[in-house]
Amino acid sequence: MNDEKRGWLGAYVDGELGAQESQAVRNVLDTDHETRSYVEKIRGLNEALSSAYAPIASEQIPLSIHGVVHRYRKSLVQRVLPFALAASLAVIAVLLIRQVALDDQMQDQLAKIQAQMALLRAQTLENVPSGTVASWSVVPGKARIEVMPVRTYRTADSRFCREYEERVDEGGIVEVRRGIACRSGKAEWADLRSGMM
Amino acid sequence: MRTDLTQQLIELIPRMRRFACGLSGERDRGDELVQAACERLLKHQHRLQPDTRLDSWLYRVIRNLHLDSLRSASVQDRGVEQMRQVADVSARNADSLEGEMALHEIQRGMAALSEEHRTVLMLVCVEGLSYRETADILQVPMGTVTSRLVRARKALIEQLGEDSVKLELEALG
Repeated sequence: MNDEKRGWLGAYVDGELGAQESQAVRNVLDTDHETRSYVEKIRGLNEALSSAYAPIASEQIPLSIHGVVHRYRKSLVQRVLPFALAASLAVIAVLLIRQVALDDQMQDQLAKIQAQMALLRAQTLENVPSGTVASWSVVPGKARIEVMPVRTYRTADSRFCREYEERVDEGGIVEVRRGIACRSGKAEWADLRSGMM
Repeated sequence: MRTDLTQQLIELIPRMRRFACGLSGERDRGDELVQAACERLLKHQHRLQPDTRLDSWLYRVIRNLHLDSLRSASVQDRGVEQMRQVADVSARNADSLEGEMALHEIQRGMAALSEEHRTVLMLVCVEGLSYRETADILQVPMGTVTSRLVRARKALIEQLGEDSVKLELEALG
């Protein structure tokens, strides 16, 4: 068998041939033992190669590589920090003014929204992998929360803790926060630390 | 857009590690290559065209970084011994003793091939890329990919021996 035919058969195994050419190969396979044997060998080799290296892709990503992406995220944060700070001060000012004006009923509603947001944050920390943004609408068109777990680690007393970033939008007032929460039970996460970015 | 890029990058890292470890034959070296490629991507992201395929870009950069490092004699001297490290670690995850032995042999066989042959086998047979995608990454004509594959497969079968291939297939079977 020459290399040209080997290339043709390899392309057949690799799914590179069109329907007509593939049929031509199958016709040869039916009648020629040497061709069939080569195709089986190549097919097996492909499978063996794929299996040999598959475990590497299932492993956890090393911290050194995670660190590169994380560092980049941090530098993004540093770039937007002055704007975030100004926005946060504006949010605080608005919140203070609004707090004075709110009657009991409105405060009650706000507390419910915040409780709902805490629940959604906990659900996100419980289920969503680091680096993925979970977006929730709390009150359609009025309040929404986006949470992104950033990093997961285990404390010395074996508790799971996660760093997260979140963006809370309450009626157009946007607040960006970063925090650390630790798991205290199933889908229960207690904030260890949180603050505006 | 930038957040999307980092997210896409995180999703691609497992495949890039598999490719880099297979290419370099060394666990730590593979991770170093992926780390350097990620840094390069994030640093030069503004130069990427909107239609750039990130995976192809990363495969190409990892391969080029690997070629650069091969030019340094200190890395070249490490050779086959370090290929065994990849084999040892990966084989631990295999389901059975027979599977472990078969996978170990495959990786040792790969270690004995030329860089050119190992690369084309990794891209087509392990990463599952088409000949067209492989040709674009390696910046060679498609016919070159086909002929390299023929020679690479022949060389790997010779390394493994005809009987080994059969045994591996049975073990994986």
